[in-house]
Amino acid sequence: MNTEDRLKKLTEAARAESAPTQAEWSSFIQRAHRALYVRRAVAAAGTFMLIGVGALGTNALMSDQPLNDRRPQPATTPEPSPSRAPGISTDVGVPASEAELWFVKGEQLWWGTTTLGGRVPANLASDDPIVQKAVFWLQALFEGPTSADQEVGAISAVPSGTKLLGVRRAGSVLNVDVSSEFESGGGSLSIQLRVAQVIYTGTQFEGIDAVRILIEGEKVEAIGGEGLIVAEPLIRRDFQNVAPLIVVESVKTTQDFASPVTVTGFANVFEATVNIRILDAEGKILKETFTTASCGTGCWGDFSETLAFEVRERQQGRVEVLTYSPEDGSEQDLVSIPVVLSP
Amino acid sequence: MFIRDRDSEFKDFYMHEAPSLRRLAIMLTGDSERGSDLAQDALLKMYTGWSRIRNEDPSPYARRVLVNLCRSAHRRRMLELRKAPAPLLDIIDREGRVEEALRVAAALSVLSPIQRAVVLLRFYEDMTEQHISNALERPLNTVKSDLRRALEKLRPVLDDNVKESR
Repeated sequence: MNTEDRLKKLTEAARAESAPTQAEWSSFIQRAHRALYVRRAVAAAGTFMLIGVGALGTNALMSDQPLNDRRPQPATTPEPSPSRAPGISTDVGVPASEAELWFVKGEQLWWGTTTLGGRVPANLASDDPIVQKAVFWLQALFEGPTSADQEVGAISAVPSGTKLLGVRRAGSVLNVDVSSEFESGGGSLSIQLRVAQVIYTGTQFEGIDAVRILIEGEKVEAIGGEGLIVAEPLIRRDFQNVAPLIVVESVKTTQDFASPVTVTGFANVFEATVNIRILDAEGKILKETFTTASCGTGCWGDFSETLAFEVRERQQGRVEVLTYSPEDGSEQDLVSIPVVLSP
Repeated sequence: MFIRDRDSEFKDFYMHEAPSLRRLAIMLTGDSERGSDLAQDALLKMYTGWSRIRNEDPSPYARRVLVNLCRSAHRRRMLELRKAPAPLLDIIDREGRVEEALRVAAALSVLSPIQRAVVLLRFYEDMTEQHISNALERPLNTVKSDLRRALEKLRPVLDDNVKESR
């Protein structure tokens, strides 16, 4: 027998190995769960020590620091941003714009586009316009549905009292830090819906594909009694079981683009037929087409279609994706995204 | 995804892959106890990173994790190993080919850890050179020369013709 044959015989031995027993699996999974808790505990202990050391240092060096202020102080005083008045902690204005606020209707996500302007607190403000927008709209999300939204039955699964502690951007991932109230109460569906509300609201902004949720500044493995895994950044597709029947991923709120535009997403619609149209500032349809998702009538499929359009000048417009009822031709499952169309 | 869903998804992976990972680890390290521990560590790493890994093909990834763990374990024990006699691989052969298995095992101990990994992935795991290159994130040509050099080293021990002609 030569070397290769002799080594190949090893493969036969590999195939003869039997599967692990149930007891081996149970012992493994117990160890794995323990490893997760240890990881979380170590991360929390690390922060606790940092806060402790930070507070000690601050108290020793700055005697005029109020003792009841237990928040960790930054190691160095940051330069005041030119957009803010130095030394004065004041809110930062956000001009009125339109965006999607994702709430819950029945047991599904539901969106309402709302036009709002207002202010964000100085400690959450950012020089990155996308982060600034995200802060503003996530705060609006945490405040709950407007009375108009409530009238049509929209509720929020985010517990009242949840505070937005910070938003940071790392490439196409938005890190959203929320207070511990976010984890409180609710069954597994409510936990899933509240996380999905944040993911969907956060991923509507240009350049953002995924959102990671942090609780009180900590990366956590899972939240809620049944442990919804939030260790990795999450995307819209991770919530298909609570998603509306058409979800657009490629076109972002108030995105500015010239012809052509590629519209991609996923849908679970009758015969997989997805209609896509572009509307100008006056609501006139500039272009309408339809495409077929990779699956339909009871299963989720992907769709992607590129549409060319013509506009003479830069203007507000909308990209809409919808289906027409097979019974009476009425519009259904409409997704309507405000955009800016450029020639 | 809830933890219970991850657990049930991971269970399928575990049931299918744990035995061959364990055996691979034993052959990589030449030590049953250490190999089993390293295979367990690799599986734990797979479990904690599952939401990231699951969408790709997790099997080659698991092998990369395991080979890396074995290589760093080897680095730590380099001195010890140098002084120790060639490790005797305790491969339990279900069909009684103990002698044959021990012969292969002893032969593998002359290889460097990466050569041993490449040989085992090629012949024990039956992976192609391209798959090994992907799994170990090692250039294809490097994998080819790893394999060639390893076989050159093994030939005097394992090839009957070579031995007879000596």
